[in-house]
Amino acid sequence: MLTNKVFLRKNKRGNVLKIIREHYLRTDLWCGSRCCVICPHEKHDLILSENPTSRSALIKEPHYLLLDTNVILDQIDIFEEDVLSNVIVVQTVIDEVKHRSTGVYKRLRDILSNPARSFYTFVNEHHRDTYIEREPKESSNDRNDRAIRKAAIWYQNHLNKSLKETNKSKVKVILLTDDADNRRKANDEGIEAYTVENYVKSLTEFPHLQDKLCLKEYANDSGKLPVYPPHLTVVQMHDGIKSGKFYQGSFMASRENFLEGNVNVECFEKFVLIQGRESLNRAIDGDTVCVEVLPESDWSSPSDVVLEDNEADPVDENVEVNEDEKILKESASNKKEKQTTGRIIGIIKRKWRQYCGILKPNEVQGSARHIFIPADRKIPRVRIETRQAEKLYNQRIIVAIDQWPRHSRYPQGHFVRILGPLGDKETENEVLLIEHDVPHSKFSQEVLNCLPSLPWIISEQDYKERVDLRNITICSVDPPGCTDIDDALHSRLLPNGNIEVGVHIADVSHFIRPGTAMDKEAALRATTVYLVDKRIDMVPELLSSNLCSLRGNVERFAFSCVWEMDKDANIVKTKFHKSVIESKAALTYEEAQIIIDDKNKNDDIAKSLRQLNQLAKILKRRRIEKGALVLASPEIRFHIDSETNDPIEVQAKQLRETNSMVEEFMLLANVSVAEKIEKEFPEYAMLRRHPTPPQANFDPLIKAVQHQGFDIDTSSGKALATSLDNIEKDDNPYFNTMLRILATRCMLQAVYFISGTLTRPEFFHYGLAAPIYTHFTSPIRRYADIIVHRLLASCIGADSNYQDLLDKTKNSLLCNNLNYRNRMAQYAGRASVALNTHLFFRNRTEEVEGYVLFVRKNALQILIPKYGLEGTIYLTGKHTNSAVNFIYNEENQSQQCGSVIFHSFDPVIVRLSLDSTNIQHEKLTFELLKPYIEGFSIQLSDKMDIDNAPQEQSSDATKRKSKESQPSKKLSKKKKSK
Amino acid sequence: MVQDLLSAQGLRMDGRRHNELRQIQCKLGVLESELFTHKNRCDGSAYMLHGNTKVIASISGPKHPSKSSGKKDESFIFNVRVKFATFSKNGERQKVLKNSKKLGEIEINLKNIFKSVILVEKYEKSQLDLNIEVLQHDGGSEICTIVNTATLALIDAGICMKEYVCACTASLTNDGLALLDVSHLEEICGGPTLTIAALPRIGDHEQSVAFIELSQKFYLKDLNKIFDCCQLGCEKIRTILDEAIRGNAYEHVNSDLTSN
Repeated sequence: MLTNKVFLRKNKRGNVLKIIREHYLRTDLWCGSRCCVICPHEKHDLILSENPTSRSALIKEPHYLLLDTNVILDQIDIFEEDVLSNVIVVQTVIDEVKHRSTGVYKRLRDILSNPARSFYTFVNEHHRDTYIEREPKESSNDRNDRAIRKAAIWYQNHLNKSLKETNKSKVKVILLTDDADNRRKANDEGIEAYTVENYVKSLTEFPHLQDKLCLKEYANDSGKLPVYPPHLTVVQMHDGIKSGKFYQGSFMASRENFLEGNVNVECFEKFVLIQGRESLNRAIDGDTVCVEVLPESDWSSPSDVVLEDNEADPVDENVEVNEDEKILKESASNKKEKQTTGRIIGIIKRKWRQYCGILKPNEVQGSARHIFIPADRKIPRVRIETRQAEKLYNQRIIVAIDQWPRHSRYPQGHFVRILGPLGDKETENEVLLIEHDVPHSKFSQEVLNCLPSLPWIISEQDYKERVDLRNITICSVDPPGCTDIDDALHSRLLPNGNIEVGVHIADVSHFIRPGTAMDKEAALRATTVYLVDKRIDMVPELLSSNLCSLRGNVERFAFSCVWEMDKDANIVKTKFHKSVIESKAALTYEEAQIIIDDKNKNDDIAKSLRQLNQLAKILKRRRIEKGALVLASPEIRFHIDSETNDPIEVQAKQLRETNSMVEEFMLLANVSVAEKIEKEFPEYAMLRRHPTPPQANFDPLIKAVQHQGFDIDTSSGKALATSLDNIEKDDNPYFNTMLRILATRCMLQAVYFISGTLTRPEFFHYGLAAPIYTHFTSPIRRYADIIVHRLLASCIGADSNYQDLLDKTKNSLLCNNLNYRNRMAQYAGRASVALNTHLFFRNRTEEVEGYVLFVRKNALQILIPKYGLEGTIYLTGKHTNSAVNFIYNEENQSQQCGSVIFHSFDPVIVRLSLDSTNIQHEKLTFELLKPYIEGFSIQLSDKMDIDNAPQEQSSDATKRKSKESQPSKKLSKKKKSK
Repeated sequence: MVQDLLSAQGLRMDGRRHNELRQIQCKLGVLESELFTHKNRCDGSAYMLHGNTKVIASISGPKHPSKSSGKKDESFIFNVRVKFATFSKNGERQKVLKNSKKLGEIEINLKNIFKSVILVEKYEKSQLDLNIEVLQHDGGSEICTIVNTATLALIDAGICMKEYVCACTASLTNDGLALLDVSHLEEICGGPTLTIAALPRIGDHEQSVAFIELSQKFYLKDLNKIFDCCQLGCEKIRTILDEAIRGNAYEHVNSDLTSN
């Protein structure tokens, strides 16, 4: 049966179009219930159980639930709980949800696709008996509500008919809707309807569900005084933006001051400043907002006060607020430099997510209303209702924001789940993963289904398709404890005197086929995230640590890049092919170094390694001659107690010759592959570039060096590299390293991109001084490498390509995600190091040697090489209570106090301890010991031993850490740098 | 507009399953031949509604070649004219095809398709005119509906042909499932479209393809799948055409019998 959908649409030019679409109505859509005897179901269609026992005190009979759109949009947290089942979701609702919120839609789809949950999708829109036309003057909302009720009636009749035939007990259909009007109409039509709140509260066995109820109120409520000015309507905002009266931008809250924020508006060079509660008008960090710029006379400047929202009792709202605001105004009006200031008049798009944080103890005992303090300082406090507050104190919890009405000072939200006890390592790891948006849930069944079944056997066909390299002496060199080995090397002499060098990379793209669930998951995760004591895999462990990992003495698939080189490491020939290899040894850097150095060893592995090492040295020299930068960042590794998992020792990382050997060949392979795929797919190759930093970025470096009496040339990478090499200071061995650390900070981030989106000169990789570069060598832990593998496979005809591989737009989007995830993984890694440092310093203070990295107006920034730490000693201002006066000299960047002068790079001795006064944000405090300043420095303790802290080399179970901070290492091997 | 071509329940945007055609209604002999003058007589006509595309085709001939038409040395002159009515568009960013390159392309394609099917040797030194009027078109491969309508019209005019020519389109979802008979909405949502005009197989006859057209790229490995889907569609369409023709003939015989 057929009907036509007719609707009118206005196009961009203002013409009204009548659009006619076919809409087929079917008779072969089934109800999905096991108690139905009418529908000829296929087995997999039977989702709703035969006897849905009621757990609700409200309804005694067995029943199915049928949901309204708003119910799903607001209460998705409830439905994600494993409590409610036997739920019917009609197509009308799914379409509406999809239209209104993609986030919720995705979550809904996950629930629907899980057969264990018994959620059935009923395609009412295409069912002959349940399709309805929109009536004249009926709004589309009303029409949809009616369609949902119609489906409910149909179900009820259908089930009754079926049950009459079988004489079974009655199964009801219950409509859940929060819309009072809809409920009334449903009752009139003979369907039982309840609000979610009532229904959930009637589930007496599951009281915890109540906390997850979303507290959105649809009715205009109470006579409370509005705290905030109203938001404009969408139409008003749209018209205002169009006419240039208002501007659109993304809102960024200030970390230091809760009454201040900035809006990034594209057409202004500077951010638009927003100050004060009313101007902020309920915007939350990340929202897309509509701003109105104030007249110039009202412009203000960013205040330098730190304001934290400390208001105790939500009752006496207005008093303290005004005080804060007064402070803010005063501090702002003192300044001369004015900045464009505006106020927010509407929210175009909310970017709410779920927030981690803690519950603030409520003074009123037994009250259900509580204040939630997010871990992220940019997020305002959230008001939630919970009955299990006692349980939630001292726990990290997750809360979602529901709405922010005008009369409420704080947004209203609801409790989602508990992460774990405060201060617990697992919990804190979880928090930092969530806050850095790292997908870290277990792999879904769908993903695991993509794995090959065990035992995994290489078939004859595989041998035929691949080059057999099993008899070649290949070995891998990795950090200790590494289980995801994605590269192996070999070299051998050829009869013509040249050397054959091979880099063999795990053939992950053989296992992860494009378009599968596993591929999508990997693309989403983009990278394996290394925390100090944990690894969040990009692909399931079976692949990462077994089937793909090039372990010793097992046959594995590899993607090989084989060069023929002459004695001077010039490439004569390059070939790429898929292969089967059998690594003869999985070595650590240390073991490999020992083999190379041991003159008595002369087996194949030793010869091969020595050969490689020699070539690597030539390659490295050549690369540095070309202007590649050798940068530095303080890198440390933690020795973890195997029992408690707490860090017991921190030490700086050590680099050996073998690290650089592996790195050189990885770089070479990456460059070779980049050239190949770029040649074959000039438009679609996925490459990596490191943009040349603008000269202004180097200013702090140049200034700092000038005061030490040196000159540094930053005009090009090569010049910079040479200058860095030439500056040494005899009395300060750490000086050069510090310079390199500073230079690293001047750099921009390296990013992935698609070759067709940029011009050739922009491909340049600054840190490596390579005209073209990509990532090929770590497909187990980076998704970009998988794409590069697929491109290369398609170049050499080893694999077919597929549509999305050659889709510039889709792949550019993919690159954006990869870059974002990489950045986040990096931050998460750093946060993990910080967390472990804090754990390390809990209950301990230490006195260590450090260097002044920067001299600031009111503080010194200190670097502690031993721990790779950086911190601040405040000299003046509200963070110190000393009466000592420091004199800041802006000209030559120094701080003076009496006879003591601080310059950049000066050595100091500081005491480190942990400040735990703020439970959510512990921080390390630095106190000056030496040089001693009366009234400022603290007394030296007697048992100081700093200089002879032995840098012992223990190779025990240290875990890897990921930290991508310097471009030159970034490319290299995992634990070295990332 | 990013939408799934196929929902989780296996339904397309308009409610069809992946292997279902849109509605097809057709009728033969829709134009009264008596109404036309001798020169512009109509010897056969057909109307078809396929989805939201409406086409009328009329045949004039076989007849003596008019002096102006065609080249003299051509033994069989076959003229095709396609017109899109000004009101035919369905609103969504379509232009009415008028003297455009695309229109010319359609005409040439039609000419080639039917020249290969009509038993040309029977009509030496004569002329055949095929006029197509697209009354409403729902975007997509209008050439499909045109070919099917023209087939009906030719049969109505009693022109000898080897076999019915049926045309059909197919597309591909992201999951690699072939979709039969692409609607306009599905076409603008992306996905490649393959159009074929085929002589469906009957009995031992292998199916042969008279025309094939491809929009966008897809992978060679998918070609077979999508091609099979198209062929299946052609066979389904043949059944529908066949029914219409037999029904029409039956009606004629009946009415002749009753009038006699």
